[in-house]
Amino acid sequence: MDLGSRYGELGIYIPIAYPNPETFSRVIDESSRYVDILELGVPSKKPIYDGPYIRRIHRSLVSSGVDYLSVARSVNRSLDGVGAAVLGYYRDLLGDRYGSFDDLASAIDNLRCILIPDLLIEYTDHLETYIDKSRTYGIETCFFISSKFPYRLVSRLARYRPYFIYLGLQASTGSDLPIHLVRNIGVARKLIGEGVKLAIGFGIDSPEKLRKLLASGADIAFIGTEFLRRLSQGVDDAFGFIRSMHDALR
Amino acid sequence: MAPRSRIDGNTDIEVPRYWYNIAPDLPRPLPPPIDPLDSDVSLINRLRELLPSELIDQEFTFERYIGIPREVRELYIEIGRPTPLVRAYRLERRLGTPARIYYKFEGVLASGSHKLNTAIPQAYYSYREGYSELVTETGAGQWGLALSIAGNLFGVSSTVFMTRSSYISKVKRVELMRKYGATVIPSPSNITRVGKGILDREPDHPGSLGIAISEAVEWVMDRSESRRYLPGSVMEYVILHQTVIGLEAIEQFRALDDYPNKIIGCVGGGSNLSGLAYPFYREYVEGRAKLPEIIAVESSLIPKASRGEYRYEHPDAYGALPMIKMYTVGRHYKPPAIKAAGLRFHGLASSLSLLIREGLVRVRAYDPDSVREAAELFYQSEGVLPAPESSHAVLAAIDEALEAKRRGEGITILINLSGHGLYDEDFFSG
Ligand SMILES: Cc1ncc(COP(=O)(O)O)c(C=O)c1O
Repeated sequence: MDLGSRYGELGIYIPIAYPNPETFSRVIDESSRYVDILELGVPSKKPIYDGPYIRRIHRSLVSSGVDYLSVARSVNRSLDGVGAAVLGYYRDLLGDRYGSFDDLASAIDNLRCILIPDLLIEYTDHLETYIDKSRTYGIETCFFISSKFPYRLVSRLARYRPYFIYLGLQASTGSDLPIHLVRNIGVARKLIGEGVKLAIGFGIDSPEKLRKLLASGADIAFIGTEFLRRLSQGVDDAFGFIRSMHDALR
Repeated sequence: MAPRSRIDGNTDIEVPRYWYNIAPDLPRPLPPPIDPLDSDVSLINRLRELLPSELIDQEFTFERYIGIPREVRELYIEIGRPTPLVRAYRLERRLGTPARIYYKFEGVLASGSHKLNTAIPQAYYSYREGYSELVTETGAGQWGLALSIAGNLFGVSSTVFMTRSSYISKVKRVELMRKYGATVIPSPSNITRVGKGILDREPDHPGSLGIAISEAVEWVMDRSESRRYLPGSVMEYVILHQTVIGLEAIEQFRALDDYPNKIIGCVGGGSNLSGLAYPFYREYVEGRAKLPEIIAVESSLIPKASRGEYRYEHPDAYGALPMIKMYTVGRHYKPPAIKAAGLRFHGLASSLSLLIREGLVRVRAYDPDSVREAAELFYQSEGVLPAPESSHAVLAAIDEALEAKRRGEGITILINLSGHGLYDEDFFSG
């Protein structure tokens, strides 16, 4: 897509195999018409930074015992026109027993990076492991930060030249606290510099908000809870919503 | 040479124009608050119904400095800021120590403690956003009194849930809160569901700050269009407001051409120690000074930092507030009814917990009897009666000064004398 005349890039977040493998695959198929990047969520037993809505989804996926790796493999073909990133918590991706980093990295052909939101908060010492592993699979890095990150760390992350640095705008997904988001995005932008893409997400639920936040210095916006809420009403509703978000960027 | 003034650290300095947010300078990211995994409602989102918007924004700001509103700064001056940095000459002589002991005396503020530093901005933002009733918890009554005064300054009423053991023993502060128009309710109370539930099971429950917080939160939720919940510690924005203490102290030490090697404060939720120490941490991060040894002093009867766990826990007993990552003895811990009631909280602010975890703040725990002896010694030598909470810091300073004597080291020790104990009539009597 031509970015020259657009506010920024659009991404959606969807846990792998949600709401079921068939619908998931349809969403992946159709989304390339509207979004630049898909963020595929690894079902987790402990999605701690997620709000209740997304947590319920994780809970149902985990208890359904769906084989998300094979679902991820099966959508590969549909991912042609659109970039993909995987989002998962540390224990599900790099944890000793359950880690599926390697499997996912080799399952998805045009995977750009694997985003681990708790990596730098709870597992800082494993940063190098993450970078090495990403390199091994020929994918880029991407990092999650919040407004409570040390400046030095954020600047250091930018020096790794990741695909993007993702600023979680709220304390959890789907929340909507009265935080001066434009100001926080401005601080992140300044720390990161111009050479690395700044992604944002958490609580972006309307075209107006999307436009305002991208205009304030972010490059990519991810829509999660609101998209999934619409999806629970039906695929058409979800795509109507994403189309309106997409149109808002022009 | 005889000192020219007891108030060595002159008060002829400017009251700060900004507060300092430590998060951008921490060695690691501050873990975010989370919802409990089994919760179907977002406690995080619920903060919208509890706190003034401006304070939520301060909690999650990415900025290192936050300007102090003009009205707040003027009130800071009117209620006694800057506070004096006092050299404890007579205590030093009595101990025969080569150490220089200074205390930043927050007890001179109108309410008698550092709590007013955050009560004023919290009441200010609540008033400006149109709320008419400030609701909170209090232990010893220092926070309740500070909020009652601050509310009164802006013409809004205050409702204070006071832990029952203190409600009974700190008679003066209850009276003083009421003089400012506050409604003071012993907690657990029978006006909230949380309180009733506890009283049903245990009619003589002494109360805890965790329970009082739950009651205050419930009270606000019942009429959130006009009420706001205002906490006296633990939140990062509370610490933010308290940084005026340290920012002033740095200027005062500059004027004296001295600098602390050790900074000591008692810890309830962690706000007075952090408020004093964080600006010195900034001096270190920016390469202007060495990092003083920072010592957090808790009661051995509520040993959250020395014997607790570093994990996610709710700040309130019932679990109505989002969980924060902190050192804690657990929200169901039933703290003994010590006179230093402000230290009875089961956890410690997230940023301070992180610094302890990283080894940048040391922890010490003292028993009530030793603390009382230290307070007596301080009173007899300085003529100043420290609050029972602050007396924990005094004892640590005495220990450090005696250690310096053994080593023959002329170090500089700085204590946060977070409050005076003139209304803690239960403290010396036993
Ligand atoms: C005089 C005094 N100092 C200290 C404290 C402890 O709180 P914090 O650790 O937040 O300073 C209290 C709490 O009530 C207090 O009243």
